[in-house]
Amino acid sequence: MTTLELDKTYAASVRTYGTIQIRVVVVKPKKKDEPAPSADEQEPIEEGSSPLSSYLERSAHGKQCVVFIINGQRHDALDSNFIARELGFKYLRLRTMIIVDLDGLTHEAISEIVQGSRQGLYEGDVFGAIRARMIATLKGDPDLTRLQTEAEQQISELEAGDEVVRQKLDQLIEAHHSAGSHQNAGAGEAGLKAGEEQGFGPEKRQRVVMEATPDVGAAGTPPVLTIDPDVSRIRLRSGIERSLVIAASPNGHWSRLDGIQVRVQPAIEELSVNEKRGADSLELRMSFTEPEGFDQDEYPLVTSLQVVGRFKGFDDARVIEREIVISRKPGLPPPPPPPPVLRQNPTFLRVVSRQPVKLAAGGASTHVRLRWDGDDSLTGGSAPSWSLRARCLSMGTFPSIGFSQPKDGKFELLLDTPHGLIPNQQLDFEVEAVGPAGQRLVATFSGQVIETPPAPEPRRTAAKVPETASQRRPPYELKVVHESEWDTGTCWGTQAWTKDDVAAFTEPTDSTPLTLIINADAEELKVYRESLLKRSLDVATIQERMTRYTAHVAFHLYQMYRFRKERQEAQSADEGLRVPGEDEMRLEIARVATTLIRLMEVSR
Amino acid sequence: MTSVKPTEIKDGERFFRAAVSATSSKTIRDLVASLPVVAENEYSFHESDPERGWREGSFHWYPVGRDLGNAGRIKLAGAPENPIAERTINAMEALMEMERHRELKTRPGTLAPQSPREAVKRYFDLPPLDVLPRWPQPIRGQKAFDYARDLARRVRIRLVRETRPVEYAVIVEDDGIGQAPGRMHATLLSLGRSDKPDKPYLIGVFGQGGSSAYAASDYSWIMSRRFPDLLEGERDGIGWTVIKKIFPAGRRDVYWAYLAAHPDGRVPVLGVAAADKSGFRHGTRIAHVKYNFGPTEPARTLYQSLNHLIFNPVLPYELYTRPAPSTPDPMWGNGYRLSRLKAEQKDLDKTFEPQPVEKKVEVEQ
Repeated sequence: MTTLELDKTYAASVRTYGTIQIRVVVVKPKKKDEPAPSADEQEPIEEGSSPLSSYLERSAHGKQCVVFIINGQRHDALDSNFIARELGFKYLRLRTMIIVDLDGLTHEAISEIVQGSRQGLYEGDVFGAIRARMIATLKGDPDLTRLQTEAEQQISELEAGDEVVRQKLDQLIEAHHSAGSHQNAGAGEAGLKAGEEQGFGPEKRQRVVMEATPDVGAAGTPPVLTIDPDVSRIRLRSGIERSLVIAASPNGHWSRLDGIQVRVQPAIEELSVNEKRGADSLELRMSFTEPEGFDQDEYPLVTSLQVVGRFKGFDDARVIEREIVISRKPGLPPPPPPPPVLRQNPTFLRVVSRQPVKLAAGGASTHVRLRWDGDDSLTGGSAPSWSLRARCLSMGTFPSIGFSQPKDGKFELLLDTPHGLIPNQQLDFEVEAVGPAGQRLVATFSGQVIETPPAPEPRRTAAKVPETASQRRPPYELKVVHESEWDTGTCWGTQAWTKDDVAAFTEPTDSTPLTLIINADAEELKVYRESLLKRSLDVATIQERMTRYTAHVAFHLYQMYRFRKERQEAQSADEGLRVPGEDEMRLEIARVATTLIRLMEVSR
Repeated sequence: MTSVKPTEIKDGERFFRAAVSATSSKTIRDLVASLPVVAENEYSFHESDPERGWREGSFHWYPVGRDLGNAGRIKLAGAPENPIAERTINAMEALMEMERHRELKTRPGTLAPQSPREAVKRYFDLPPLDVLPRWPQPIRGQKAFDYARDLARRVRIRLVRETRPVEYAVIVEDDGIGQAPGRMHATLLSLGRSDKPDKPYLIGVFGQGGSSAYAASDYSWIMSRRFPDLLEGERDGIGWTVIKKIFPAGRRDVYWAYLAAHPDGRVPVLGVAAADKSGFRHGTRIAHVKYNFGPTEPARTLYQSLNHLIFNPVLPYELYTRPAPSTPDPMWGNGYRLSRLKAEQKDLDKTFEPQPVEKKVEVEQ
């Protein structure tokens, strides 16, 4: 029996405004040139850019994808910023609809918010409480989290090539400006104690050195551990191995490494991390294998990788930490399991979330997954025959516990853990389904209070960053135009693209940066790409050639822009100076592209 | 005031035919010109003495809601589609109100439904439309969808496009309870004088939302006939009037006025014979003519807009946007449309049971 050590009591003096019902619908992403999803092909709908277009009022009224309805009538709406910013599901914002039914509010609450014009709810206490409830219910929703993670994964895979190009281009530009070293050195080291082999003891809070931006901690000194590729988050796909290399910076310090430990916390049994130590680095091969009967709803699995190293002569451990996000296998999702047998007289109810359930005090609602074999209609409709209820056995004043509607026998209960509970406290819960003849199905589970990190807020601090006024590399945007977009009028500002236009730039304005545009379907590039394919080169080689081409052409564009700008400035003092015209620049960049392709041909 | 006789419309049957086909500003002006109407600047309404200046035998422009300052309560819409949604809601309420009155007539003292959803369940056996696609049982002997589709025919929204010049009319029709001609001025043509707050089974509260459509159109006309069994002593027939905007010289704002047949505000009446011959049995028809849709093409946008504005309607209805003869689009709301999407078209469709809304959750030491 768990003994509680509460030092606070929960005050139930809460002003209640009634209830709201929340429905969230996420439609599938719309593929290019595919019509928006519609239940009826005969519907007179307007096609739009997003899969939700036909479910919004009309584009001129914004993306009103969060609607508040009373007696079926819309009284207010929020746009997709709510989904992106308040709920944190940025990549779902264009295909998510949230319907908030306010019919369960008290008459007093409704009278406070409803306006005669029906064009907006009064944004006072009641509306604030509604928003808070929406955020609490949806922010931690495991299904939305899973979909967001999958979307992130897809985007990270799609944009990898672009990012490589950008990195390459940045390098070229920085090199062009002969940028100096960025290394920040600092004090805080204990000094050399060469020759002592150091091991790893029990976990304790201690000073460590890691590679980070200047706003993190105090300055440290090299060496540091590095990770390649240097990603902020390690994304793993089930069944696909991913390799990472841990090394020391500056080069040569690896030999002074006295000990290194790799940890995954919290541990995931099915995640394997194999270490292969080399002369100057440590390779980590990570893979996740689904166990038999693995529930796809479990994705994404989130944990973290921690690599701790000690270098001879340095007291402070060197650390690298990265979040690991594991998603389902790539490609189409696996076929859904056969539909469960659902009964009018259910026989079981069980909790399927991993226990102990983590309870974030004062944070978003914690969703606990449940399964039963009752028909979905048993708890729905105007007169449900079965009812669901749950209570906290350890704390009588725990806030009331809500449920989602069962779908295919799956549903969730929502725990709103109050502020003030002590981290690591364990709370026991009971959930029951009660039938019309007194049948009772019971399941229990335990939860553990976790420390909620303080919410981010604007903080004023000191950081070492380049002066904006003296920034050498101006901001730029790199775009790629395809044949289907040739008539967009973006070639040298306003013209249509042709097969002979290799690239162009658009000068910066008050609101847009310098834009470098590469024509991905320029004739010469297409021919070159075909020749690479014909030779059956591997994907990585083709990708590398394309990256090199794009980065160098973009870099040359960047130089052309600078040259033109300098000439324009100088022209005010010397009218005899000539500024290159668009035709000249068009020929120049075509010449560069041709030369580049020929060079790549001869250097293969 | 009792000495003044209401002005009557002659040849009501012919007039009815002309009135229902008045869907352009020109046809309305012609229709009004065919009547003995006192020019708008020749009668000035005085609330305390509306008979002053009244010319017996003529129709007069009479302020909606008996209020020359009614613009503030009419100009409420920020977008063209909103007043149409309000009118549609009113039409649904007319169906519910009819069933409630019939219930009271057969079972006096029956407690009223406590919400519009409860009323729809009690009177029409209809579940919320967003669950209709999954509704397994037949309703009143019909497949649930077929039953609901039939029900939708009782409220009709028609978009009429006139071509010379191009202008639109929006007509909202319901086969609901209707109003007796002698009560129209106190109900349909009132502003804010509503008993809706006492009727928990109705949707609206303020009793003036539909009037915002006057501001969106150059002319409106209303005709209504009470359900015959529910006249409750009132005279049968079709009440009819036209509403338009008046900008009197010397005033800073407009007001909306309707054609009245009597100084107490009563509207012109088409008698029982004309009503019976017209085939108009009961309900209300409201047309808003030369409707100001702005730059949008309503035939393309109205379907989407109304499905969003009336997201999960308590009752289905029909929308006619194509030239006659045409088939209407049944309107179920976006809640229904999203439910109808196939599983492979959605990544998620999840509903949370009612969640408590509270001002603050605190833990005190």
